[in-house]
Amino acid sequence: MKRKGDRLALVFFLSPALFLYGLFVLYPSIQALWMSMYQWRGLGEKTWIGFGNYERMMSDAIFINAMKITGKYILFQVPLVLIISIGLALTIANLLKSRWLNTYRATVFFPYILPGVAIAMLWATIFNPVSGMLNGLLNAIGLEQYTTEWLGRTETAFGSVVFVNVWSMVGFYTVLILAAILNIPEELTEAAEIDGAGKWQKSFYIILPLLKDVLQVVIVFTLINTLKIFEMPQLLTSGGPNRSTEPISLYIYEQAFQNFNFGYASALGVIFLILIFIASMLTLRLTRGEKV
Amino acid sequence: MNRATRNLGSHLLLILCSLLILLPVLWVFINSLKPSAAILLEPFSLPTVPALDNYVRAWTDGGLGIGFLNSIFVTVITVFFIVIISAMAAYALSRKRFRFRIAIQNTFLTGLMLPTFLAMAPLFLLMNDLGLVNSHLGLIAVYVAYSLPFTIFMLIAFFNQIPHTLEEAATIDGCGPIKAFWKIMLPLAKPGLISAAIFNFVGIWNEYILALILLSDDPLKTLPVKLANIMMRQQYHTDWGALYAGIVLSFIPVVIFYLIFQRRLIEGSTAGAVKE
Repeated sequence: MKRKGDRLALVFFLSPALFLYGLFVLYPSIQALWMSMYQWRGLGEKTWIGFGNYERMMSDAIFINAMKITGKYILFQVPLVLIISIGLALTIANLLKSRWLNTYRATVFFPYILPGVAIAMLWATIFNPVSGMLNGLLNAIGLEQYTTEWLGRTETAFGSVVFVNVWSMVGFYTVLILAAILNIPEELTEAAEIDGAGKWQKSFYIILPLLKDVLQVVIVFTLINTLKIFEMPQLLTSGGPNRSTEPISLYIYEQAFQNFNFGYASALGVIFLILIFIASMLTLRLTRGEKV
Repeated sequence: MNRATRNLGSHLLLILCSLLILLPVLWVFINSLKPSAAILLEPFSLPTVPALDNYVRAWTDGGLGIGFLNSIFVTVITVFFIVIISAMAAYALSRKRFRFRIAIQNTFLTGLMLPTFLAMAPLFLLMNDLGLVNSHLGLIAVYVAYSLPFTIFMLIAFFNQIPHTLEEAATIDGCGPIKAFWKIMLPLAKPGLISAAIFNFVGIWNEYILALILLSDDPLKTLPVKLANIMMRQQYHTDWGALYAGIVLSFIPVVIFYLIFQRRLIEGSTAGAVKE
């Protein structure tokens, strides 16, 4: 028994969200598919080139490099974030019922709320070879031989960017895992304690297996967020030296807003979406498969 | 063996991590109070007299004052509209049963996955056609649109927990759906709305990429874009004091928020994922 008033109310409730979302999120995303078939510099002539942009990628050394670098970020960042956040969450959970739990949780989460741009600047000043804290500390403790131009050399730039990324995101996942640990019924862990399980035995054999669901979420999230990194490489190294820290996101930006290759940038965006989609599906399948 | 010594290892590890998190932030804060020469020559010294002129220079010469005010303006308006529009949509999706409900819900769900980069070029051209490039209105509209999916799902989860009885009573008393939403649902949902507002405040305050693409007029830029500009220029013109002051300036609102709403912020941003 739908009354006319009800239907009008539905339209009233849903139309602002649907309008904004449709116009500014869905429409440009769908248009990217169509635009990826053109050679177009934003102004002037639009030329239909079919899959030309995609063919161009195959022989674009910078694109292939950016894909490799993105893969490298995933290879390092996802396991690092996973291991550190599990370790931290288990350690904090050990302090259950102590007032320190909240203090540590709040401290660990803290970087997650800071502006990414400011975090990049903060670490850029720390890595700064002239007056930075890192080289200053190394000098102070007599390790002068290790002082270097952290962000300017291929050997150290990538590691430094990964470090800053992990520093800024690991707290979020720690808190996520910690919440799941605190949700585990106490009877389970108590039973293990009565059976004589030590703290770490308890963590490994009782808690970790119960965390599968949340770990799956953590892996998908880190994967997607690693694919999306932009601020840190842009502001810390501008993708350099020699594009050794340039992920695909930065290359899309460069193509769209520095070279004004809007068609090509759209095609790169489509590839990027497919990547994210595959990454999410793969992780879901892999972690589900393990469950058997 | 008492509790404290048993947990000594855990404490040591966590204190080390806390230092790794807090020391860099503290270092920036201390340096923001020192004159530029002292920053370069004695990076580890404490300021003798706190030099607030770094902040003055950052605010005026660095243009961060305008950036700060722009950011406050854009963030506050954006958060207001995100919460209202998301609440309306979440209310319909949580309470009403209608034909396209699942389809609409799934449409918003895909939005959680769509990355900004996919649509970077088309979005810019769309905004250009609409005359919304270089305008706060345009940026706000895009921010609201991109924040809707997450906020709607956050609020649906929240609305689902609120019992239907009060609304039903109101409907029997002849209260229309819009009035029921406004007079009954919104007041009951206040804690959820506040969580959503806090969560989005932090996200919008920190947002950089969309603002970078959509604003190119200097007087309109938000604080993260202004900061990034200063950083890019840094090679040519080195005012370290103002740089540090600028970083601290961008931390202030979110840190204040964090100190007040820490629990809500932590729980709000993790709630969705844990429930899945």
